[in-house]
Formats: sequence, structure tokens, C-alpha cells
Amino acid sequence: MLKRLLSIACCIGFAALLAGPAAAQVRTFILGDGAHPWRGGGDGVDPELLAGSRARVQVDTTNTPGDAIEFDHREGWISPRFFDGSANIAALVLEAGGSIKAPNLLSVSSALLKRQLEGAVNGDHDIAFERKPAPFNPEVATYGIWVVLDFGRLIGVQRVRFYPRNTAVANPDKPFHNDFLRGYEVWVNHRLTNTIEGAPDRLVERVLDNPDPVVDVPVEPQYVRLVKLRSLAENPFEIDEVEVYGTGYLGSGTYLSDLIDLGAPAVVGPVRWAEGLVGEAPFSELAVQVRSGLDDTPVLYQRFVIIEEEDRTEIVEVSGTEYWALERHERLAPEEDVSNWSPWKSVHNGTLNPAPTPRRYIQFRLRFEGGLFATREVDRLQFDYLAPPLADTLRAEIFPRLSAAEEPATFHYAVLLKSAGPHRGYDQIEVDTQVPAERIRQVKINGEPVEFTVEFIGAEAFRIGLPLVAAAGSVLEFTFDLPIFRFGTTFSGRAYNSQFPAVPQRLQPGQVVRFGPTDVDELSGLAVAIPKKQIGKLVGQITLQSRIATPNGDGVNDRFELAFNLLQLLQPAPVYLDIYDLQGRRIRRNWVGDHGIGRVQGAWDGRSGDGRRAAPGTYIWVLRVRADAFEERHSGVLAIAY
Amino acid sequence: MLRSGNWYLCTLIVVLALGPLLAQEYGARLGTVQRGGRVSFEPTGPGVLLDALDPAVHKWYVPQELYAEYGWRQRQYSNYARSEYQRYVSTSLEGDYFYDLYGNFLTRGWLIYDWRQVNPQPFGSGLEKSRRFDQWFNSLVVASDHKGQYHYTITIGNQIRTTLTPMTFSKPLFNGLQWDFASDKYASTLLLSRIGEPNSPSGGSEQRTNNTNFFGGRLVVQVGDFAKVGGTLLNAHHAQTQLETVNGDIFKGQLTEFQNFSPVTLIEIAISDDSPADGEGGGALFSSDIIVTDLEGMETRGSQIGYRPLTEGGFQRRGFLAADGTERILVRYDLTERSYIGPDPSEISRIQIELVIANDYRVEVASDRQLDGRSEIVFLPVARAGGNVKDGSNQRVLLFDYGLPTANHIAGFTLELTDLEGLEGYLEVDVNQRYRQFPNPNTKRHHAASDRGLAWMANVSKTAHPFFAFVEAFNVSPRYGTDFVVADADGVVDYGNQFQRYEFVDDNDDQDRRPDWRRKGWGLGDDEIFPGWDENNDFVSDFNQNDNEDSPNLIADYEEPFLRFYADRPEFLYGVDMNHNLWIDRFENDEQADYPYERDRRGYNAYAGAFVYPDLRLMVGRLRLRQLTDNRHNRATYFLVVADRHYARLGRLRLFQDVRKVKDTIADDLLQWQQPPNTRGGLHLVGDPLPAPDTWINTTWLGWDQQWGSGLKAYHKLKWTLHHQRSGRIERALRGQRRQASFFGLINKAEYRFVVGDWTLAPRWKSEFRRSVPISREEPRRRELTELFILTLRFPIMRQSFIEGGLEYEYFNQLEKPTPPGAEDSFNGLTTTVQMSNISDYQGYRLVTTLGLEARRIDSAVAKTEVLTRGFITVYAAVEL
Repeated sequence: MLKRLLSIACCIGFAALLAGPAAAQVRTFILGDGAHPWRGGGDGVDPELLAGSRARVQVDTTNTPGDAIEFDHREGWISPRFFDGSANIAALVLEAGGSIKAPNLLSVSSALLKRQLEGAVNGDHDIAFERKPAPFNPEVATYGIWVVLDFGRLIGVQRVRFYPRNTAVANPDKPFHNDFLRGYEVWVNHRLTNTIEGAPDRLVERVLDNPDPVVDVPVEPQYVRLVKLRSLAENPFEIDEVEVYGTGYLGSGTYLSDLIDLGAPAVVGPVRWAEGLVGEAPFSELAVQVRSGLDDTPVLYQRFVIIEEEDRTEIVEVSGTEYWALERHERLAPEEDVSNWSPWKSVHNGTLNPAPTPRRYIQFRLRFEGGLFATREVDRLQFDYLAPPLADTLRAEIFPRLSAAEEPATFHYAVLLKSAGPHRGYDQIEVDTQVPAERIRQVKINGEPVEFTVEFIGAEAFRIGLPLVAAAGSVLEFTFDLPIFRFGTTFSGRAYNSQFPAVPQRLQPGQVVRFGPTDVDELSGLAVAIPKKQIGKLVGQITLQSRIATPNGDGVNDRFELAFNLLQLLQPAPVYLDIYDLQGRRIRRNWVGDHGIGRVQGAWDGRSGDGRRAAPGTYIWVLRVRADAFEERHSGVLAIAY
Repeated sequence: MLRSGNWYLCTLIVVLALGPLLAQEYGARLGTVQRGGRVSFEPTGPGVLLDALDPAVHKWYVPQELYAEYGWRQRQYSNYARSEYQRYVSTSLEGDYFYDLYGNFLTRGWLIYDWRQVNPQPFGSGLEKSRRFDQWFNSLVVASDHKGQYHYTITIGNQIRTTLTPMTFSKPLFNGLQWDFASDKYASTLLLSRIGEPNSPSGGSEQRTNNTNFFGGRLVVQVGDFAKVGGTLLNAHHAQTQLETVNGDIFKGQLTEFQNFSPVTLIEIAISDDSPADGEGGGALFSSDIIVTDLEGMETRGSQIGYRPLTEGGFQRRGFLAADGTERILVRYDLTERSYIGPDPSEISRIQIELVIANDYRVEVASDRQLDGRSEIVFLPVARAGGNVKDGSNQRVLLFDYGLPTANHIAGFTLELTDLEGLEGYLEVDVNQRYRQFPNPNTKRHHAASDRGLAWMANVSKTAHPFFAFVEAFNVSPRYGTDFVVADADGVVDYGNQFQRYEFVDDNDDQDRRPDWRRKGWGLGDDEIFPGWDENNDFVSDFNQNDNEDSPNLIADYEEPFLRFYADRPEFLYGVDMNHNLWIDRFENDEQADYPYERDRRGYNAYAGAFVYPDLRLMVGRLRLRQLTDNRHNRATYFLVVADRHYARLGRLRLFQDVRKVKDTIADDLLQWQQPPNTRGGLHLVGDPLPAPDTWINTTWLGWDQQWGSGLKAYHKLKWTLHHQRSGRIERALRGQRRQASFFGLINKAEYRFVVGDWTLAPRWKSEFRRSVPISREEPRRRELTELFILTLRFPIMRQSFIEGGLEYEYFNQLEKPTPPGAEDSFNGLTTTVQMSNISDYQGYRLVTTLGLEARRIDSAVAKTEVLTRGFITVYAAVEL
């Protein structure tokens, strides 16, 4: 009885889903607006990104690895980190990857040196880097002492300032305002110093008799990694602070969104973002990547478990929290969870999400590259999603998967709807092609013929309308004809529910049905190959209407015509039909046009280049396809008669 | 009559009977084997000492070394009252005894050099260069012989200048053995080196199981009196001494223990854009598959077992993934993944990767056995698309074997023509095979595969006075390579470490004894590379001649007071710039192996000319050059005039005129020596700004040197270059180039020398005018005039001292208003110097003492007046003056 009630409830629920799709709205997620500001990463689960070397893997859980993203320069926009020239960025050397060192100061205890050097960049005006005699150290080296600030990355710099205590900032308790550097050099380098490999330091300023306690050195705006200060005086000195004033944008930066939880497995539609440009376009670049996951951690944490009874160890997956609580020797290095998370897929603005869906979690990565004053900014990134999806999986395959190039072929296409939970079903299927499909027919659902409509047939796709296919396990089959012209022609497709046309669901290649004894399950997919021996050929079979042309205006064979298929090309290439006489002189060049793959026709009207009728006789035609890699030529003989 | 046998018996009895008597003279028993008055050291083993057959119970010690050397008998009372004690002397003062393979005694002496390899055996490769090799022989030993016309020499050294051919082997510092043979008709060379470790740093034998060996050779045969035919063979390969030498092909090398330590479980293929700058038409991946062959030879295709790679990155297009711009497609085959049900990695003998790719691809491969020193995966190149294809017309199936590099092999052929009907010619063809083998510790024989790269060059010249012509053609594949990463002592091959890369052809643009780069065998590199700027070969730039380590000079000579009268700026140099990167070719320094033609280039250059007069020649030529892996080219048609004539009254007049029409889109980046202010100079990366994408270039250089009598001299130098862009306004705007860019420079100098008695007075004047309109719109126009008036006076005091005084007035006029960024404002400068010099002989040295004072005042039109002073006292010691 209970089972029956449950099944009735399920049926009602399912019917409600089918009957009321209009009530269920496609939702839009916007990253970077008020609800999900950039800084919050999308308010999802903290990202996890493997970092460090292969030998020592670390997990970064911030949205801005390397702290290289700017949130404040332009409200609501993100970009690589920006420095406006007024901020002292010297303290950045204390962050990961950076350092401050005095490499030729070996006689000072490392702890004291570290404290003093950090004090010289952290804004603490009580602690200074000192090279002054002390009761137990009456002789200190002062000449030639290097202080090297290594930012660990390229940072735009426009000014360096340094001074002793009680100068730029009043500090009467430390009246060392006269202990300033009397002679100095300021050097910069955009790489680690290596004169031999083309990275010598560049001198910004050298002063041998400095009279100013507060030294302000302008630097031509440029990217630097190292800022180096060298003393050139025998006098004892101290440096309260070395201030480095940054400028411009960082050369690169990565923003990583949180793992955005869509609440349930959902289909994700096109991804769009608003992109701003600073400076000239060729000097900056933005790459957006997306991945999707089944769980809330893209990192696989594993541990060793010793099974003492069996004298062996076992590897067990654990949560991140458990993992970090383990002893070091119990941990395996974290690695990407490739089972539950897809690889990163690059996406163009406005195109369909390329990561597999429906999945519950989705994550975006934005990589910025640019120059000091040229970069990209992103205002908001948004996508539509639909949950429940059209199906858990829509698996599709095509057969046959090998077909001779340019020969008309009949293809069978099948789509399997797999679902174990709530789903919406589909009523339209769109299939990508490279030439218009012909004779779409034999549309069947679960083996039963159904009524269908051809929504459109285009050069690159066709779409058919169907009765709603919603039952789990339903198999849609149909047949169409077309020749293929390129190796790896992929008949990828998308399913639509006409109630939610903005969010199609991609068809996943895989095994659906057995089309015959030669249909091997493991090879099932959506790509059709041509025999490999046909690869490398641009022009297929050439057919001539007639070898003899009679351009006398009687309407019969007035033109010499030929037709052929262009193969393999991804972009149109210019096609020429040249006519030569038997002395080898070219008498006419006919530009047939720029053509992509497919059928091409060329003709010669029997006239020479200057418009005169060609004399009766024998001529040679040469067909040229000028592709980027080579020019493919074919030739033959024709006759002109009157 | 006694039979002969009895005779022997009797003789033996007599000898035995006499034995005890003779036994009293122990010393006579030593050195029993005498030959030519010397003790023989032939390896005959110990014999029966008849004299020692004394039937005595007491322990008897055979008198040996102590008796021979000092007359000391073990039981004899030693009393040194009369004959004083003599200390022990080392018995090895004259070295050890050495024998050849047949046991022949070679010599008594010291081991200097010993390199041997024994297989199969751990630590089978031993190389010893004893300390005497370095200390006695300065790391060079030479053995030679000759008879009649036949000569040969064996040279073993750490730093041998060796060249076989310019495309195959050329090193200023070859460390190994060179065996040369020469006769009237034949010449040959054999090179051998253990390049993994050619030295024995410890002084003893450096034993290795894993090492990298090199051998090479060349044979040249004179054919007739006009041609020489040559063959070259070079091979560097890993060797593992635990394997038999004949295990496989020696040319293909062997996997080291580390390379073959464990099976491959992960293969990654990276597909990227070979010309990322254009941001489109990058590598297109249509499909990928893996073909795994097990130890039994059974093949399994990944697609057949439903095993698909994990693919990351790339833009999804219809039917393919595109790696445009900086995008990169990573195809990962993880053989430990659950979906992989093919042969276990330990059972795999071969892995092939099949890609269907198109467009402008660059394919690289890596595996978990292909690591650098930090255990990071290193990608190695597999294939690059020819040209910059964007329409998919180069779609192809790329099938390659995965393997770890084990050998680099080059075979070449040369033909040299000398005066064949006035023709001079040189042809060289070289084929490079780079071998790799698939690692698997469970098999002894590893599947080997190879990549092939071809390089050839041909030069022909003909002179039929007054006409002459020259043609050169060349093709150097991007896959042609003369480098090989060597194995360290543990067999680790660090693919990412340049220091472990051995080069057959070094980068040595300045043609000194130091290779310019840091590679295996030469880790120091060369800090000072200025080809063509060191005409006196003192390793100091001729533009900063008064610089050295002890007394660094931070001012270039053409900027330094007084010196700048003679030294002119580099902009006033003239030379041919065939790669159109704004640098004169003979002054260029790059970071490439010094092949005559760069890798990845194909093309020809031809010119013909005539001597109109003996000192005036005209040339017209045509250059066509293409970059093979990109759609870039360098095309030029040029006309040159060279004249150098001495006129009795006018002096010497020189003219170089070069007009050319150029289309050059190939970037020839350089690493050039530059001397920014306040530095001693250094190497800087200089990018090629591609100044001539479709351009007329004119270069005129005129020099005129005059001399009147013995005192007055005048020099005039004019240089004018013009770049006229033929492309349209939009194209120029996109490239940021001006339509007309030019440099005009004019130098006029005059000096006169008055000599009155011991006094010498020399007034000088130099005028320098420079006007430049840079090609890049971002760089400002410059127009500057500098006038220098110099007066120096020199007179002696006493015998070995003299005083010099100098006055230099500099007038710098910034003609561009406002002053361009980075340029100086107008100023007047006055430099006054006084210097006293003394030359004295002291303790065998010649001391040169100078003391002086310099004051310089600069009155700038903008900044405040500066006064700089310098005082100095210096003493130099010289062995001669």
C-alpha cells in the first residue's frame, strides 16, 4: 500500500514537473555584483588549488593566489593588482615569494639581521637597519653594504625613498636623524641578478656625497623584481624605512572563484562577462576557464593506513580537515580529483559552458596578462542555470564512425536519456554539422516512429522538434544524410527544452545502442573519421561537365565547367581556375572565390583575360587551391570549338 | 762412454754440492734476470731460485730490496761507525712499472691519463687524469709520429680547439682525445670524450656506471687538385656499463639506470600555438589516441578499450580543440587510472601517441620519467607546424613513439672546390638523428625511435676580373640539433638544466677562447662579448679601452673628456645588416650555436659585382630567406657601392653606399654589449624591432681623412640611414612605426701638433652633429650638436718625468625643443686637468707614477651649475713599457 502511495506521489510530482515548467525559472548567477561580490569569491565553498612544486605540494584556498588581484581600483571590477604611485609597497617583500636580505653582511646574527631588515620595510619606526658601532662591536663594515628587496614577482615601481629614524617620521626617542646614508647606489632588476644570462642590475642613481637625510629617488616607471640599495660611505648609518612606491598593474594575476554551489545538479548555459580594456588591446589578455564538479572539493586528499594483520598499507581518501590533522608521514601528496572534477576548460565570452554538466558545483578561473599600463578588467561574470536539468546525462552516439571523404553517407544518431532523479526532459535536438544535412528521417523514440519537425537546417547545424522525451532510459534515434569533408568531423549536439531555450544541455559522447555487428561499444562517440590516407588532400573528385566548350552563345556548352569538393579546410581559401594555351601562356585567371569545405563550382567562359574569345583549339586548365600550408593543383585538357 | 742423460745428472749433483758454498754470496742471487745490463721487469712470474735450496732449519730471508739498495742483510750486525747511515729513499721516485695488453713491459713512470670502459660491470667506465696531467703537462699531452708524407698526432687535453665542420662540430674548448692523421691526399680526425664527466676531479679514477660518451670523426680525401670530399660522423650517447656494449645499436645509446628505474605511468602531451603573438590559428587537435605495445608485441589502442585521455585547456570548436594565443591543450594519459585496462605499465615495451592535428601547432611531450633536477616534469619538443597555417590545410596524423633521449647522431658530407675554372665552392649536407628509447626496467632491449633533422649549405663564388659573383643557399631544419643532455654520476638526466647540455657547436660570437654560453664543460660563460669591438684582442671593448678590473672605468670613451676626440659613437660605424635588425652583422652576439646559418631557416642569397676601378666596386644582390616554422621571411634586393681611394692631395676618401628594398618579418633578437651611463657595460637583450617589414633602406657612409704636412690632420665622417616604409598608414599605425625614419650624423675633427723643443702643444677641435628620427613612434626625435675644443700641453721635467695639462671646452646644444625625454639639456662644460707622470725602474719593474687633478664645471641651461673635481695618485708596475 505504502509503495503504491509513493508511486502515485512520484507520478504526481513528475506530472507537476512536466505540467508546470513555466513556474520553474531559469536562474542566473552573477559573480561580481551586489549579491556575489568578487571579493567573496561567489559565496561558495573556498577554492582549493594545488600549488608549490611536485615534491612539495601545497593547497591554496584563497580567491587570489599570490594576492595579485585588485578589487578597489575601480569599484565592482577586478583586474591585476594596481598601484597608484602613492602607496608604499615595500612591505610586500615580506609576503610569500618575497624577501629582504643583506647578502654581504655575514657577521651579524641572522635573527638580529632579520629583525632589522623586516623593521626597515614594515612601517615600524622604532626598528631600523643599523650599521653603527656598538660597545661590543666597535668596528662595523659600512661601505658596500647591500640591502636587497626581492618582491618575488614583477611589480611596477616609480620611486624609492629611504631615511633614518626621526626624519620622515618624528621619533624623538630615536634621535638618529644624522645617521643617514652619505653615499649610496640604487639599483633595480626585473629578474634575479644574473649578469651572464642577460639580467644585470640597472643603476638608477649613485650619489657619493648625499646631504639629505631623506633620500627620494625617482625611478622611471618599470617592472622590477629587485630593488637594491648599496651604501657608498664609510660613515655609520641606519635605515629606518626603505619605501618603494609602486605604479601600474601587475603583469599577471589570477582570480579563482569559490566552488559555486548550484544547490543541485544543474545545466549551465552560456557564460558571459563584461570586460574592460585599459591601454592597447594587443598588450593584454584575459583567459576565462571553467570546471565543474560533483562534490565540494576538487582536491583528492589521501592517507596511508597500515593493515598490520596483513602486513600491508592501504590508501584511503579522507576529507581535507582530516588530512591536515594527520601526521606528515601518514599523508599522501594532495592531487587533483579527476574523478569528480573536470579539467579546466577555456571559454569565450557568450559561448556555452564547455565543462560537463549537469553538476552541482562550478568554478571559474580568470587569468590576466598585461603590462604596466595595459590590462583587462572584468565587471561581472554571469551564467544561467537550470535545476533540475533536462536529464542526468544525455548520451549520444553516431554510426558509422568512419566514412570516405566527400561520398554521401547515411548516419544514424541516437540519444539516451539517463536520469535517476528529477529532470525535465527535452523536446528539441540540435546537431552540429559542417555542411547542410539532408533527408532527416526515421525519427524514433524507444523504437517507435514519432512525428517530428525540422526546425532548421543550416550549414553548420540542424535542429528537429520532437514530442517531449522525459522518461529515463528513453532512446531517440534518427537518420540523416550528408557527406563529410574533414577528418574528425564531430556531430556534437545539444538538447533543448522549449520552455527553457536559454539553457541547452550538451550531449555527451558514449555508447547508446548497438547499430550493428560492426558497432564496437568502446569506440562509440560523436566523431566521424575519414580514412587516414585521405588526410592531407584538399580537393576531392573533380567532375567536368564537358571537356569541350563551345562559347558561341547558343546556350549549349557555352562554358567550361567543373565541380569538386573542398576538403579539410577550417577557413576559406582562395580557389583559382587558370587557363593556359599549349605554349604554356596563361590566357585567363578565373578567381572562383574563397571557399571552405563543401561543393565548389568553377567555370570559364571561353574568353581570354582581355575579353576576347579564345581561338579554337586545345587548352590546359589548372585548378589551384591556395591554402596556408601549400597550394594544391590539378590540371586537365579542354577544347574550344565553335 | 756416458749417455747424455747421465751428464745432466752429474751436472746437477755437482751444482747441488757446490750450492752451500755459493750460498754464502747472497747478493749474487739478486737480479738474476739481467738483460743489457739492466734488471728486466717482464711479467714472467717468480721462478725457482736454485741458490736458495739450502737445507737449513733456520729461517732464512731472501735478500731483496734492502740488500740491493743498501747492502743490508737481515741477520748481519749493522754498524755505521765507518760507513754512515743512509736514509731511505722513495722507491717510486721514478714511478711505477707499466705493461701492455700482451704483458710487454712498457715503461717505468707515472700514469697520466687512463680512460677505459668495461662491460658488463658496475662502475665500468673509469677515467683518470692524474694531478700530474694538470700540473706537469698543463692538461695537455701530445704524442705524434711521422714517416714520409704520413703524419699522425694524438692530442689529449682539457681545452683543445677543435672544428670538424662549421655545421657539426666546432668548439674552442674540447675536452677529450683528438687523433689526427694527415697525408698528401688524406686527412682524418677521431674525437673521443666521456662528456658526462671528462675529468677526474678527485685526481683518482672517476668510476661510473652511467655516463655519456662522445665519439666523432672526419675523413677528407683530395680528389684531383681542385676538390676535397669529406665525411663526418658524430655521436653522443648514454652508456650504461652494466649492460653489454653490443646490447642494441651503439649509435642509439642506452638508457641510464635512472632513466630506466621504473615504468612510465603517465604521459602528457602539450599542444600550443607556435606563433602565439597573432592569437589565432593555433594548434588544432582533432583526436588523440594511445597505442600500447606489451612485451609480447601485442598492440592495444586506447580507443578500442574505451580509454580516453584527460584533456585540459583549449577552446572547443566544431570538431576540434583550438590552442590559440597563449592557450595550451594538455592531453594526459594516466596509465594508473581506473579506465585504463590495457597492459600493465611494467609490461609495456612501446607507447605511441597518435594525434590528428592541424594549423600552427607546437607539440611537446613529457612523462613521469622525464624530470628535471627538482623532479618537475619537463616537456620536450616533438613537432612544430611549418609556416603559420590557420586554415587547417596541413591537417595530418602525427604518430610518434614516446621515449627518453639516448643519443644524438650526425652524419655529414662535404665537398670543397678550389679554383675549378675560377670557381670556389663549399657544400655541406648533414643529417641529424636524435634517438630515444622507451624505458621499462623489465626488459633489456628497449624500443628505439628517432627524429631526423636535415641541414645543408652551399657556397659558390667566382671571380673573373673585373667581375665577381657569389651564391649561397641553405636549409637548416628546426629539428637539426647539435646538443645533448648528459647523464650525471647517478644516471640522472636533468632535461631542464642548461649546464648539463653538451654542445657540439658552441656559441662563441666573439671568437675567443671562452664559449659565450654556459654549458656542460664550460660553466663560466663569457661576461664580455663584443664581437668586432675588440680589434686589438685585449678582451676590452674598444669603446671603453681604459677600463680594466683593477681600475674600472664607468664612462664610455666617446663620452669621456679628451678621449672622445678619437673615439666616435657606435652609431657612426658602418657595416652590412643582412638580417635588418638595426645591428651590423659583424657586431652581433646571440645565444645560438654558431652555425653559418641559423636553424629554422631556408633560403638563398646571391650577388654579382664588378670592379669599376681597382678601388671602386659595385654589387647588386638578392636575398630570399624563409623561417620554416612560421610564415615569416626576409627578402631583400640590394645595391652596394664600396670605394676606398687615396688621393695625393685630398687624402683618403671612403664611401659605402647601400640601397635596398626589404621585406623582413623575421625577428633576429640579440644579446648585445651596451654601456649605459655609470656602468662598465654589460650584455643586454635587444629585441629586433622589425624595422623593415616592407621598406626602402638607404645607408650612406662617407669618410675623409686629410693630412697636411706632419702636424695638421682632419677627419670627416658622415653617416645617413633612411628607412622609408612602403606599407599603408593603417599598417604603420598598427606597428607603431613612422613612415620615414632616419639617422644623420656628421663628425668633423681637426688636430694640430706643435713641437717646440721638448714641449708639445696640441690644439684639437671636434664637431658632432646627430639628428635621428627613430622608427618607433614612441621614441622621440633627437637633434643635437656637440662642439669640443681641446688644448693639451706636454713638457718634460728632469729626465723621466713630464707634465701634461689639458683644457677641454664642450658646447652641447640641444636643438630639439622642448628637450625630449631622456635627452640632455643644452650645457657648456669646461674640463681642466693637470697630470704629472714619472717613469722609474724599481726592483726589476718599471714603475709608472701619475698624480694629477681634474676639475670639471658644467653650466646647464636648466639645472644648476655643477663642479666636479677629482684628484689622483696612482702607481703602476710594468715589466716593460
